[in-house]
Amino acid sequence: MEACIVVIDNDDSMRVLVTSSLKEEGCRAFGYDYAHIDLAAVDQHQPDLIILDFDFENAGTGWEFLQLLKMDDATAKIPILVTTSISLLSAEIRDYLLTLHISVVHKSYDLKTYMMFIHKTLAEASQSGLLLSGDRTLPILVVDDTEDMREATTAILRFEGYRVVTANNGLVALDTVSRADYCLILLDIGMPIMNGYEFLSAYERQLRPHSPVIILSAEHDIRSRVLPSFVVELLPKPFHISQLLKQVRKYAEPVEG
Amino acid sequence: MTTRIMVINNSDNILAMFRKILEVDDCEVFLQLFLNSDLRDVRRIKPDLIIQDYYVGREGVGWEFLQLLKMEDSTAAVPVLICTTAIKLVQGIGAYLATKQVTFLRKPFESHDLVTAVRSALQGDEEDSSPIPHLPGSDGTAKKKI
Repeated sequence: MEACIVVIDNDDSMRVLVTSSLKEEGCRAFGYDYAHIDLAAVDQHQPDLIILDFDFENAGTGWEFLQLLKMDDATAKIPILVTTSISLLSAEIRDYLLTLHISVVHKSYDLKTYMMFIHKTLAEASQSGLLLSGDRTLPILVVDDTEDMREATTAILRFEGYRVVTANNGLVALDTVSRADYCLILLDIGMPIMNGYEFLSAYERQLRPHSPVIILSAEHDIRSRVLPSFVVELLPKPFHISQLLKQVRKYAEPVEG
Repeated sequence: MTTRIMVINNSDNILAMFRKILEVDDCEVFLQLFLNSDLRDVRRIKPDLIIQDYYVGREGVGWEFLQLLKMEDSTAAVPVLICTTAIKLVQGIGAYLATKQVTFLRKPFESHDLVTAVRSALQGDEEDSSPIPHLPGSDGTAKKKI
């Protein structure tokens, strides 16, 4: 199983125990407390399952984050397993929550029981068509330091049905690709902190399989450089949207259609 | 004519998400923290709809605000959509509150649930369950009309 699971729990020891156990089973598991998680982080991981630990009966950060996850179209369909100290929850409430892909279990400090619930939730998600990350259409990573350019490219790709994750420099992109797989990387060259060439060099040294990279740049000397074999296209700026989409379609599949 | 929606919540993150979902070409969204909610803001903004949270066990602030709103003639007619997990409350007094133009949206909810509930509250027609032609963010376009 290569499921990607995000575990959000303010209890440090429980969070570490669960993520370690999931990693031992071959999952990609990432632990956060509520102070260090936001929708952008979830979006970057593209998880198959999110585990939230919070007091279901009281308003607080757990409830707030659950509501945010469901309000955001990008994360609304990700299955959620809530672990809580509530022992009784009516069947009516459970049924309603299941329509939103939310399962609730009574908090157990028995790791075996805990892991059993995780596997059960993943199996149910798979059966209901919420496929695991290995089977899903992977997102495109857009790396560009110019906010307007990044947002415009993202908006166009999303309009065409692609899932998109963004990074504003090479260093953020390097961290992003180390935590999830992408079907394609659209890479700007001139960026602060870590430029496109430095990113390519560092990415090439990573042992995991490399995603194809399309370079989008106004620099003129790119073609004279020796580039890694996973750089599949060079698209000089300014380019027409149709040129970009023509290249993207070679390497990426929209979520629908 | 612009639709004016006032959203009252105790979380900045949730408020920002409401704005993202509801802000449309002909719709203005006004955000208000519970802590600062005041009838004077309602009089000033003149919203077509108020969306507010209700937490079980935290009746005080939200409920008091609702009572004030309905007691004052100039604001009594403003429809209110209450987002809540308190289903027993809805089952108990939902029908009565509906006569006061107070409707409910069960939490947690997805963006399309919110759009449907807002549309229904604005139309004052609880039985309107027609599909939303455009859901914010569902097709990549930035702004849609409710």
